[in-house]
Amino acid sequence: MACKQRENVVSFVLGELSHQNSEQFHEHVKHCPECRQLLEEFEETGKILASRTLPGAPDGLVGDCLLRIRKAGRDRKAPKVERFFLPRLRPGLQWAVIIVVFFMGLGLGKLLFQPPAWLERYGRLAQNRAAFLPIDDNRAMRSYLLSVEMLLLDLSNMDDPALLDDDEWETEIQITQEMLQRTRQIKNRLGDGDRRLYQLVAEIEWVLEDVLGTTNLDVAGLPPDVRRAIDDQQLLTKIHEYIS
Amino acid sequence: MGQRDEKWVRQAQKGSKKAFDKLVRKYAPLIFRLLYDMIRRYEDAQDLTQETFLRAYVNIGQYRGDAKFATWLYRIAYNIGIDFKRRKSKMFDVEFTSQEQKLALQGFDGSKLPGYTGEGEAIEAALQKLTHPQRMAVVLNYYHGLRMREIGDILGCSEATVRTHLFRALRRLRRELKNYSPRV
Repeated sequence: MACKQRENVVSFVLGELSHQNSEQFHEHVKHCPECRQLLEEFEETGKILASRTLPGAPDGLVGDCLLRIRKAGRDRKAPKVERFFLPRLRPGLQWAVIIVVFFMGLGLGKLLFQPPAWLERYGRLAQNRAAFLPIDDNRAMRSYLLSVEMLLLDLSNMDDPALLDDDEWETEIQITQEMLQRTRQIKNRLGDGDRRLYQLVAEIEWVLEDVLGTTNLDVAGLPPDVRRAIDDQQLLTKIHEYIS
Repeated sequence: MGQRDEKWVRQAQKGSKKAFDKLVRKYAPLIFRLLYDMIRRYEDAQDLTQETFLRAYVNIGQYRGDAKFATWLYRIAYNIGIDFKRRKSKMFDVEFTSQEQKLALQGFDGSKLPGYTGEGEAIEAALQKLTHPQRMAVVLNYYHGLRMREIGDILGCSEATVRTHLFRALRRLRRELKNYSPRV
């Protein structure tokens, strides 16, 4: 009958038994001929195996390995672009960055669609300034022409100078001056663009110059010849056509 | 030695090519010998050694340090060797029951090996008579100094199974090499 401890011979020969187990097995071997014989055989076999000539590695083995790795590294598309935009961070930190960016986006969106009072005020100022500047903007042009139309209508409807106050007339003159200034700016910016529009603005300029040039500020009201000039040139009709 | 390996591995995981080069220089000869013992074809063993390090390089980030780096690397090499043997077996469409037939078919000539003296033919023949797991257990233990637990990790079996493989392998080798006396 085979000894139950015979498989321990291998562990003993290969030094895999603990110190205590090794001593116990050593004692066991003294009294177990089967294990003793196996032990001798395995030790002898171990010596034979140790005498085996191992094949030497080829000379260029390491160099070939390194070359192949370099080549594969070149062929492989390293995720450099990804790392450039999103540096490698610890997962927790990555989430923190994502959350911060998300809330920054929310804040920006709120700022754009629900601007605070100070920003709205600034926006109105910018809008007023823009009324003079973007001549190619139809909305701004329409707004300008509407203002001119209103002004000219006011001027031409003042048929009874006796009914006007001096203050009221001065206000009209001031408005006309501002409108003339605005008209000149617009005319300069129109340049070689829309010739028809340029012509219209030029006509408005002449009329406004006439209003201011022929007006005796001491006498309230528009002189009849100027009012006639507005009507003769059919300026109001042209403006109305352009707006509509 | 193990600590140095771990240091190089950590550096390689951070992208240091120099650190990985050091690992290649250290382990390439050992991996070559293992693969040569598995497939017995000198040129193919060279090629598979390169393949092993390439795969290790690509997957170095997956090494978590649960086992020693050497064990991890040996496992890669062993799997590559097994795949190669499977492919070759299908290619030749032959059931290799006789190692001599197999070696003859594959053009094996041991005399071409560096360091060949002819003295070890009996040992080679005896080793080839072992089953594959038995031979691997012997090779990994005697020529690579791995412990049974590590061999079990590489072969995918328990430590007890490795002990059984070794026990049977040594008994078989003893029978085959009864009349062999090493020249010292």
